[in-house]
Amino acid sequence: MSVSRREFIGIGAVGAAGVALAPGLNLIELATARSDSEAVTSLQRWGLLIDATKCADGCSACVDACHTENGVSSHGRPETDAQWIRAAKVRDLDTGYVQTLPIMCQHCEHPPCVDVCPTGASFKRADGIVLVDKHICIGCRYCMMACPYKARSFIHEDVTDQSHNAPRGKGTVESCTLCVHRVDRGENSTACADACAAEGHRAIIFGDLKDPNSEIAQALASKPSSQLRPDLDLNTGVRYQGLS
Amino acid sequence: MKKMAALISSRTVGTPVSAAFVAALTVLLSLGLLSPVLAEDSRVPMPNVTIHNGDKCVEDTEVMRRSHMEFILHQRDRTVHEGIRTKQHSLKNCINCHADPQTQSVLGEDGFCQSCHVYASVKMDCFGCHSSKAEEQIGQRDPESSMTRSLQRPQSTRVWEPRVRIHGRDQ
Repeated sequence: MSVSRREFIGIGAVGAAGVALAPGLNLIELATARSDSEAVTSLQRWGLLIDATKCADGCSACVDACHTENGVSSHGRPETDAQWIRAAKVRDLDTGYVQTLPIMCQHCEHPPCVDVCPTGASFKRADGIVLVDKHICIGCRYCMMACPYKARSFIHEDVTDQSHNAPRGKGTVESCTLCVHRVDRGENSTACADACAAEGHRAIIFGDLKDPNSEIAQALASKPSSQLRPDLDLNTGVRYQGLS
Repeated sequence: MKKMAALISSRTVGTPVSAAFVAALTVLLSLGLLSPVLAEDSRVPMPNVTIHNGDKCVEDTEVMRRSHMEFILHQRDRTVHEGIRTKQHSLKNCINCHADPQTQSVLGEDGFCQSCHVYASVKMDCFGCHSSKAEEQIGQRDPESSMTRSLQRPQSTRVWEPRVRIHGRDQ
């Protein structure tokens, strides 16, 4: 085997580049599925893409699926019932064109709810999911006032028979968790996206905004999309297409 | 009872007064009149912890009794904020193992968590938000193999022995 001195050094350099510089510090981090014992990182940013043109008027599949998955039940009092996702109807005042679209927590990069929380209960995970730590939430509802999307709800009454997916109880604020229990299991979907696909609409896509090969990133790269209230510069993780 | 009487009589060397007292006490003991106070059965209802699933907990029983709340506290922060969902110290794992096969729950009069917490008079906040039910239906294990641990005689702590103080003869 004849390897020249120059070739030998070259092979060594290539090998070293891919190898760890120090334990836990790699030159090239690969976004691989993490194990149960690994913390989430900012290598991913989870988000949703909602195609408003595919959202059917009168359909509530995503709302029902979300509330079933997370054990959000109604007390028959719509004013105070918790709502993680809602179907909003918007009408163009000039043309009269009516559009339906689901609105939930927009999982902002700079979430106002986190800014105002006095206890640190409202927080953003490293992978971009905005959550409420109900262990430290005092139920002041400041985050509800700060959220421009009205995405959060307060639980007014005792809760029984909670879902195993989402612990929830009286006196705390809650909102869409982007199905964090599924994300942590390594599943690449949310209850709303699954339900929408099952209805045949495929108006909601879930995925990693930072992975250029993901369906959501490719869809965002190929067609124009918008944020709700882009003027607030919140850089939302939930994006919309086909908004008129 | 006999042990008590022996314990008392072993100290009966002394004044006639104390001898008379001890004699009276011995008579009372032999009649069983003092038994509600000194008997094995406590007046306080004791939790009877029956473990239906699994032969071994994630830590030693003594460690769990003393520190289970700290394990759950640390784990909850790691789970909520960092997405770490290892099973060892997770509340879900506790419930899945310790739920009663009849009720599928750790609450209820004989529930694993509730019976002990009622006894210790310590309020639990967990189940205001978390489900108290096992994730999957758990079946009744063979009664031979299920472990019943009574908290009446903890293994590691000193066995409680009644001390009888005889007035007038203090050490």
